[in-house]
Amino acid sequence: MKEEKNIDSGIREKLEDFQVSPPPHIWDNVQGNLLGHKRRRRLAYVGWIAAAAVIVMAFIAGWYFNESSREEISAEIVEETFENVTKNPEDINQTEEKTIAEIPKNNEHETGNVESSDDIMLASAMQANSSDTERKNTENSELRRELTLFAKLESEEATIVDNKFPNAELAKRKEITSLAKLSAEDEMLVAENIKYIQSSSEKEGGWKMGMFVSPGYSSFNASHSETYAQNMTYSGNDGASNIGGGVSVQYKTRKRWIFESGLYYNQSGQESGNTVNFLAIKDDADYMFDAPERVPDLTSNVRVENQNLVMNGTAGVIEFKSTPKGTTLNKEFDTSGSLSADVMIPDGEFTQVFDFMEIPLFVRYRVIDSKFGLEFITGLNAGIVVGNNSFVNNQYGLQNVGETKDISTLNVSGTLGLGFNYAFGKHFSVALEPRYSHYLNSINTNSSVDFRPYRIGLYTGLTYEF
Amino acid sequence: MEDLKNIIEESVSGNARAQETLYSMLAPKMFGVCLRYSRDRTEAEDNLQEGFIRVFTYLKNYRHEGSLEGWVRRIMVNVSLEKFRKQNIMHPVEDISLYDARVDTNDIIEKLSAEELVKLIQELPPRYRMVFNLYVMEGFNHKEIGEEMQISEGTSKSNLARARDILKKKVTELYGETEDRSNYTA
Repeated sequence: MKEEKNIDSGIREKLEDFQVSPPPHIWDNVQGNLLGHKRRRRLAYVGWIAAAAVIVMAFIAGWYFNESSREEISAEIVEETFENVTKNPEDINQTEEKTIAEIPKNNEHETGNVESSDDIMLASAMQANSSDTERKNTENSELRRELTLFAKLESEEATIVDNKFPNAELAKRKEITSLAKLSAEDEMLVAENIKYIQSSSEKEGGWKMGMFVSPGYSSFNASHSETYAQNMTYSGNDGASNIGGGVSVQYKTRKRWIFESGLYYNQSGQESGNTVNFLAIKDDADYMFDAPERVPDLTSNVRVENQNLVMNGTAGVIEFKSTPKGTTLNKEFDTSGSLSADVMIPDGEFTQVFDFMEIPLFVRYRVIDSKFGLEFITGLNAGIVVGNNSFVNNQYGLQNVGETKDISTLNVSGTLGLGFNYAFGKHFSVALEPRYSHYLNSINTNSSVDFRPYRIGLYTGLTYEF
Repeated sequence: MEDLKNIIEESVSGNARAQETLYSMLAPKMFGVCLRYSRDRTEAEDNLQEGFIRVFTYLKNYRHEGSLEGWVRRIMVNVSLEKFRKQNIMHPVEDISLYDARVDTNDIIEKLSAEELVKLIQELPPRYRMVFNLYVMEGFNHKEIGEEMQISEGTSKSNLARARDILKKKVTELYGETEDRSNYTA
C-alpha cells in the first residue's frame, strides 16, 4: 500500500509540471475553426440575402437602363422636331425656294395633297385622343403641334415681311411650308401611333417571367403505426423556418386568367428534441458546462439493422451514416444479439430535412386587374426530392448524420395562395404572394409512417411582362 | 491577475490576439495533460485542438471561480473522457495477468524522464490509462471515477491496480534490466 502511494506520488511529482509545446498547426486549426463557426453562421443568412440582393439589383438595373434609354429616344425626337421647326427664317426660305424649284407647277394638285395629309394628321390625333392611357402623350403631342405651328407662323411672318413676292406666290409658299413641316409632325404622330398600338396589344394576353424568393415556415402532419411509435422515443413537433425560391413562367390570357409553371426550390424540415433525460453526475462541478451524462437503463431509440444504426424519426427511419459527436455508446453495444438494443443515446435536437424541386402548374385569377393587382392562386406541384438529410444539433454544432429511409422521389402537393402585385413601368411588377402548400401524399413509402410536410411561404419577387 | 481577466474578457469578445495569448499561456501544459490521456501524439493533438475550441466557445461561461488553468484542464480531461467513452468499445480491455513486482520501481521512476514516463502511460490499455490518470493526476476517488467512466468502484480499483502493475513491469523491463538480470541468474 505504501509502495503504491510512493509510486503514485513519484509519478505525480514528475508529471505535474510536464509541458510540451504543441505543434503550431494546432493553433491555426483552433483559430480557423472559431472563425469558421462565426462565418458559417453568418454565411447561412448572408448567402441568401446576397442572392436576393443580386436578383433585385439585376432587375432594377435592367429596368433603369430600359427606362432611361427610352427617355433618351423620345428626347431626341422632340429635339429633332424643334430643330426643324425653329430653323431660322433664312434657312426656311432656302429650303422653301429649293422646294419650290423642285415642286411641279400644278399647285392645285399639291394643295390637295397637303390637305389630305392634314386630314391624316387629325385622324391620328383623334385616334390618339380616344386612348385613355395615352392621353397625356397625346396632350403633349398637341402641345408640340401648337408649338410647331406657332414657330411656323413666326417664320412665315418673317418671310412675309421680307418678301416682296405677290400674294399668289405667298399662298403657294404657305402651302409648301406646311408640306415641309409635315414630315416632322408625321414622325411624331407615327411614333405616338406605334406606342398606342403597342399598348393596346399588351392588353391582350402575353407572357410573364418572374423570380421569387420565399422565406417561409415548414411543418408537417404525421401519423405512425403503433409499433413504430413505440420505438420512437421522441416526436417532432416543431416546424422550421427556411428560404426557398425559384423562377416562374406565366401566360396571361385576354381575360383575367393566368396559367403558371416554373421551377421552385423549397425545403421542408422539422425539429424534434430528444426527450431522453440525462442525469448530471457531478453537482459540485458547477463550473463545468458539460458534466457527463449517465446512460439511462431503458432507452432504445437507436438499434442496429443490417449493420446500420437506425432510429425511428418523425418523418421516417433515420439511417445513420456517421455517429454524431457527443454520442454515448452503451457498454453492451458491441455485444451483438443483445436483446436490450439500447445502444446509443444521442443528446440533442434531431432534424429531418428534405429539399424539393417543385414544378408548379397553377391557375391564377386576377380579381383586381389594374396597376395594383390581386390574384387568387391555386394548383398542383410535382415535388421531386433532391435532398434528404438528417441533422443532429448538439453542443458540437449542427451535424449531418444520415438520411431518412423510404422517401419517395416524386410527390404531389397542392397550393393555395393570394398574389398582390404592383406594376411600375410597362414591364415590371413587384409581387408579394403568401402561399400555402401541402403534400397530398405521404412522402414516406413506409406503411408505418404517414408524413406530409406543408409550407407557408411569403413569396416576394419581380415579374417581367413581355 | 487583472491582466488575465482582461485577456479572458477580450478573448470572449472574439479578439484573436487575446485568444492567441491565452492559448500560448496554457497550451504547453495542456498538451502535457492530453499526452497523458492519449495513446499517441496524434490523438493528443486532436484532443488539444478539440479542447481549445471548446475553451474558446465556452469561455463566456467561465465564472472566474477557481483557477482558469483548472477549468481548462478539466475541459481537456473531459474531451479525453468522451473520446474514451466512444472508443472503448473498439478497445476491449486486455486481460493482463497481475505482475508480481518484486523490484522497487520507485528508484527507477526517479531516474526516468517525464517524457519516458508519459510514453509508458500512453502504452497502457485505454481504460487503465484513464483510471490511472484520473486517480493519480486528477485526484479523483474511485467513486468519482466510477461515475465519470460509468464503471463500478470495484472495477476502478482493480483497473488502477493493474495500471500500476503494468507500469512497474514496463519500467523494470526497460530500465531495471541490471537488477532483473541478477534475479534471473540467481
